[in-house]
Amino acid sequence: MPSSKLIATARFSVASPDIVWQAFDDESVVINLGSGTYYSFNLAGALIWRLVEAGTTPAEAVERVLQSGAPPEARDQVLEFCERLLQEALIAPAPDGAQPTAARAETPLPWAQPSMSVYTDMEDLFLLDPIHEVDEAGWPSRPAETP
Amino acid sequence: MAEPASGNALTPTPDKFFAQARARFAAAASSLDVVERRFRVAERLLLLRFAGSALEDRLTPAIEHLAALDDGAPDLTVCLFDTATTGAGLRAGWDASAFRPRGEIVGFNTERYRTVFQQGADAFLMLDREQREAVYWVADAGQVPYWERSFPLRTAFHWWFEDLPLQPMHAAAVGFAEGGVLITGPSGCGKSTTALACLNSELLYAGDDYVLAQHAPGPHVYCLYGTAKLEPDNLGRFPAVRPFLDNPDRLDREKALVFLLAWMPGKLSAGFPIRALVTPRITGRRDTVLVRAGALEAVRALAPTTLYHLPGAERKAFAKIAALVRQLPCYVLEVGTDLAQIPVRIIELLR
Repeated sequence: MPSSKLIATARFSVASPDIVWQAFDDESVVINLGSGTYYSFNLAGALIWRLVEAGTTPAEAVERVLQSGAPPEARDQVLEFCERLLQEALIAPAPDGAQPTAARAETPLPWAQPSMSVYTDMEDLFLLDPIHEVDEAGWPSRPAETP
Repeated sequence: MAEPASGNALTPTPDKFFAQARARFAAAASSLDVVERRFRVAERLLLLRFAGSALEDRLTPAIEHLAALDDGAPDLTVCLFDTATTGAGLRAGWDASAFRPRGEIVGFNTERYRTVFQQGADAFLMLDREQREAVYWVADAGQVPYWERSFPLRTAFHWWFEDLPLQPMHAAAVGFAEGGVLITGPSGCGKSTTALACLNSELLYAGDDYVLAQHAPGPHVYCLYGTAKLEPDNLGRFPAVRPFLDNPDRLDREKALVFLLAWMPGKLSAGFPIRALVTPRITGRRDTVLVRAGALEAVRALAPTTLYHLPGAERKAFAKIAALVRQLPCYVLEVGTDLAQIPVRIIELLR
């Protein structure tokens, strides 16, 4: 059972400009270019993502899927999925006064529990050291690495 | 996306820095002949203006197959110089915090300008999108690493095609004039092995590492780089390649680099329609098998590495990758130890 009521009533937005996403037939793929972690969401997960990143509160997302014909257990499933999005730092509280945009997304029926697969196999590639030093001419100095 | 203001003590704005970089190119070119080379890339004309020949020697062999005789107005002009052979330096003026991890320079990537310092290649690249002109600078042309020689200016191509249905992608491509496959996957997945195995078949070759993919009006791949990179222990399969290696004295620390135009000019294709996406997976078993896969397989194979390698315009690039994947069937190529089966499976798929 999700624990935070605050999550349910708050508006969120995508946590970083480094996060990009695309929808496909059966799933959506979200990539965090800051960490190299990427995710696939099933259709229900993709719906929740679309709603929440557009500023719909988790509670409003629950209402929307229930009104669309999802079963009662969808309530907890939606909130749990929102909590995962927050834990994975894919969403963050939206600035005060942020208003939702219209997310055009149909609730997939029959309803299936929203799911998220997490892929970390590219993290090593993305694990770059910040640039700490520049040379006399002002250019970064760091040992060459093969890309 | 909005960026915080950056501190550049010397040239505080992108337009002033670009003007400075252009002036430094002019200074570099004042003591040496300007070497102008034209290339036709996906039906568009690229003009490279080199201050002297040192960088030309380093960067153009990989794109020599694209050389054009057109003297029309270029769609993009890139001015290239190095300090070691021209004496003209380029001062940066940013502190270390201005450089993002992938080299983008904070405050200097705007609607009009793209600016990056590519670590490893140690190359500065800045594009003025409005004037369709870029400046490329390295400290020493002699230090351009072999991998940069294998895919020169890939970030410039990425930015150039930002608003077009074209995208450099981390993929190989083999096929026939009427259609072929894009071979996708991160480094080490067998992408290059798969493409090179096809050199011993009737399949044509359009790249083993980076290609230019078009998603509209239909999926098509252009051969951007006429290069192949072979693991040194793979050279035994291609004994005839040795006289053509670009770096035979550095195989203890580099992959063997060869330019197809010299080695196998008849195998080089300008490009072809893409019929399928194929992601190799090395199995250790003897036989090679093609297995139908979902779109996610191809997206996972293509998107993270391409987006990582090519800074800027990530959303547009991901959208283009997605648009390509949505149009094509996806397969996993379970690569066995009998590499001769690889082209056989691909030819079966295409026919």
